[in-house]
Amino acid sequence: MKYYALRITGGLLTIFVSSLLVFSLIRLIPGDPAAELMGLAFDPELAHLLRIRLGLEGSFIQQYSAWITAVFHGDFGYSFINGAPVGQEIGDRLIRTIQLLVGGVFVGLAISIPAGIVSARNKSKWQDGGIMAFTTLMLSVPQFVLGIFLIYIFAVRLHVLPAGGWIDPHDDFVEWLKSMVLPWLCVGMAMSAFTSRVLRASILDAKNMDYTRTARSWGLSEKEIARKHVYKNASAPTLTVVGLEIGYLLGGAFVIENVFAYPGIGQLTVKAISQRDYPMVQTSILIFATGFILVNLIVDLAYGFIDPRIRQQ
Amino acid sequence: MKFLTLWRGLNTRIRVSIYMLFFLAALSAIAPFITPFHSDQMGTGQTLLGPTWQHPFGIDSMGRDQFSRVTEGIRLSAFIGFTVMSTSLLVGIPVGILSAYKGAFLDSLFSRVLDLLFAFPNLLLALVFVTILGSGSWTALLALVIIYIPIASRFVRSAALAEKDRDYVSAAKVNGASTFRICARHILPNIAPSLLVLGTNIFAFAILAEAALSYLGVGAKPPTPSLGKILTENQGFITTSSHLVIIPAVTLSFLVLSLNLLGDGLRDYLDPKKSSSQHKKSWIRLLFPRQSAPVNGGQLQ
Amino acid sequence: MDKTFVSKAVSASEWRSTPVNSPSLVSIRNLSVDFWRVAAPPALNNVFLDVLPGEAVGLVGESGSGKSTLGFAIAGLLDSNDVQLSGEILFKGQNLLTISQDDYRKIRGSKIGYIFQDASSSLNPLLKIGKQLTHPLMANGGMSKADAILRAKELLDMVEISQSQRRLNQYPHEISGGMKQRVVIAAALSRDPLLLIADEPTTALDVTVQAQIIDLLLRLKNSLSMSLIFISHDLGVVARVADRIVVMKDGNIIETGGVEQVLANPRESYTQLLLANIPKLRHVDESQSLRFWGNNEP
Repeated sequence: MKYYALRITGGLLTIFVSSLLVFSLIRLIPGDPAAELMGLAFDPELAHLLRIRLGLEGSFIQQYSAWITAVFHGDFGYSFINGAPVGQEIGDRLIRTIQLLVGGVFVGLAISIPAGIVSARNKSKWQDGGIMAFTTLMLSVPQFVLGIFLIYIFAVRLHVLPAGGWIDPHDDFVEWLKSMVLPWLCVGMAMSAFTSRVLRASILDAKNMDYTRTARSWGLSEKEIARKHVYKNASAPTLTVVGLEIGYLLGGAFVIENVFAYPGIGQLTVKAISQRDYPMVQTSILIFATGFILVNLIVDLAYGFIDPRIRQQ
Repeated sequence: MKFLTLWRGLNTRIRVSIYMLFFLAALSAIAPFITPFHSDQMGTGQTLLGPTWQHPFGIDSMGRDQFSRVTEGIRLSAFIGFTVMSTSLLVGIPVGILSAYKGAFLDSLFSRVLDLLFAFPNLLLALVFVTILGSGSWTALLALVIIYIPIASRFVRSAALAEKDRDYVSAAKVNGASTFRICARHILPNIAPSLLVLGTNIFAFAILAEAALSYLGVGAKPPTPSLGKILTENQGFITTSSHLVIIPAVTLSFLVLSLNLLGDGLRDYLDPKKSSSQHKKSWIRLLFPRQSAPVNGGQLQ
Repeated sequence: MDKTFVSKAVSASEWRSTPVNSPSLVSIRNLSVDFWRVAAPPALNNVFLDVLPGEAVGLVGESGSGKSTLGFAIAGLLDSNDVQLSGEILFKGQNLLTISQDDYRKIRGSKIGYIFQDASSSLNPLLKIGKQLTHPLMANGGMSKADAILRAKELLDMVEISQSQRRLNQYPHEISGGMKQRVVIAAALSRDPLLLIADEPTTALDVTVQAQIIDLLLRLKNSLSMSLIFISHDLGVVARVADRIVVMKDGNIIETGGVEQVLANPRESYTQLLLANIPKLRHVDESQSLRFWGNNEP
């Protein structure tokens, strides 16, 4: 129990510190945003008011606490570009990005779990060699290149799937599904490359462990040994890796949304960065960081559930 | 002579990857002498042209020769990968080993800071840095260096931790060796193989990261022909002139693949443990099974 | 290998001290185990061994002598991808090398029990001890869960572990090394095997616990009328356990005989070497000690 409490508090602490970090990093950017916004119509008094409006006046602590209280009230500031509240824009996009990532993770697991198991079971035979070669290839191809290839094959050549964009599932469910296939596939394939390798390695490691040998000496069948000993023990290190993968995927969201013109947070953040829309950038980075920390927290908790030795710490 | 025997002893993956890398290096080195065009020279011919003898990789929408652009892109990627790899190793190795060896306060402080940094996914950190520093190849390079130094040091630290408690380290300590001597002459050579593999991995990751940043538009500024940038520029023409997209994509993947293969091959080659079942069943044994030895007076019943 | 050397060790008249016509439980004939790589020396080279029911055989040798390999071979734990076996292993008259993998598996665990060297890694760290003990009992349409739990408690009592209910719910890392070894013994005995092969069961333990485990094994052997093959490099430990000693070197059996006979009159120089290396208490010189206590007389 202590383990869980410790982990959760640690997670919350990390979120807090990351918010501090994000906040201060944005403030480090040289130049005065108010002056930039006003451009030629620069007026010192108005600039001062604008800075108050943008939350740029006052000491660091004042600014930060003002921002944090606003965040807890759901007020994430206003976009530099169009003045619209940041929270509103991010809301819908966040849901869409989550849909993309969650679906992609499912696809990824659906690919990597059978792949890892099959290649471990047929070690050194053609199935293993084939799967390993394929994963090596997948690891080398950047995610956006993979996306481009998928678009090329399925949209340009075969014309079966759309090349990107997004359709509201409430309007047309089938079209929505079709538009999600390629992005999900892209996320899933990128994730499965590493995950299936790690799963394979963990299964092979577990097979060589002493306790497997002992189970064999007890007369258990290979199937029973696999069920009770091998797979369970292999899932622990694989779980850790899946957590890392998801972090990598969060970063990949930027790229994938760009390739498929998918209206999610990633696309928004990139646009905001190139436009120097600081409130937007600040909030979306905070959301990404929080998401990443949450995912890792869940993975840690699940790991504690599997491995009793960790719980003792 | 010695080099030849070493070469034969290397496993297939290493050899294949070296051939691949050599091919790319040769291509990008010779390219400026073959082609008369500069990478940013516009109007070299009809736009969106397919591969011809004069323009082996075609021409893009702005009339630029793709062959010169892609080969310069290879040089750029290699430069970035090499710089990030060497800097992160140069800083990460001493920091990681010292932190692991000295332990105590320095080490826990170091790990806490690292844990915090790792709370953010890589690309996100890179984007943040680029936001602060402004976009461009050099800032992207700087951002990547800043990101990969902690990654390298963390890896080195865990490798060094595994060696720290070994007997040969204690023996050296008892002999009065200084901290520097132990770290440099004892620990470092023993973790060197995994560091070599780490180097190839960082090289590959840095290339991918830079390509991703350029693809998103925050890395290389036009007209710099980073491979990622070329892809962004040509992506819109995928329906009509797919070669403009496929060639840079394949080139990038080829480069990264060769690095990954090299890393894999090195890992296998340098790994002292090999399971016995890797040895093929000797056909001699299969054809000539052991004959029961006749034993004098051995009729035991 | 020196063929005369081998035949000298196994000539029938020296073979055993018991009548020839009592049926052995295990009868190993001409067993050879070779690695698939041609250049490697054989792990076992034309080995002959008999084990009678209820007998304790001590298998002694240094590392690499093939004693563990012999144990693995009898239990069928060698991987056919790594080695090639030839010869016969007769268990209650049946040649184990000719039966199917499935049948061999059924004999393992129910008729042959095995204890590995390092108890702490023999148990799965992620599973509760109770689960690990009851699972082999319930598998393949064995006992019901309730019966299996009862049997598990019975086994823990047999190996002298108290608070059996509590122990069943614990994980391996929560109990001591000696207790882990007892659990491993209990697991090996769970289906009343006829033969127990113990591979260096005491090597990883400290000396006091060693003595306890040895005593436990002896008591169990007698109460369950099992045969025991005790593998060790430590002649001192083997001397306490075994009725008969078999000495191995480089894949061959070089000496065999009743335990007192071999210890008193070892024939082979190698056996003498092993005996000489048992740590003994040095003989205390009483005159010296008297002087030490202040007595001035020489």
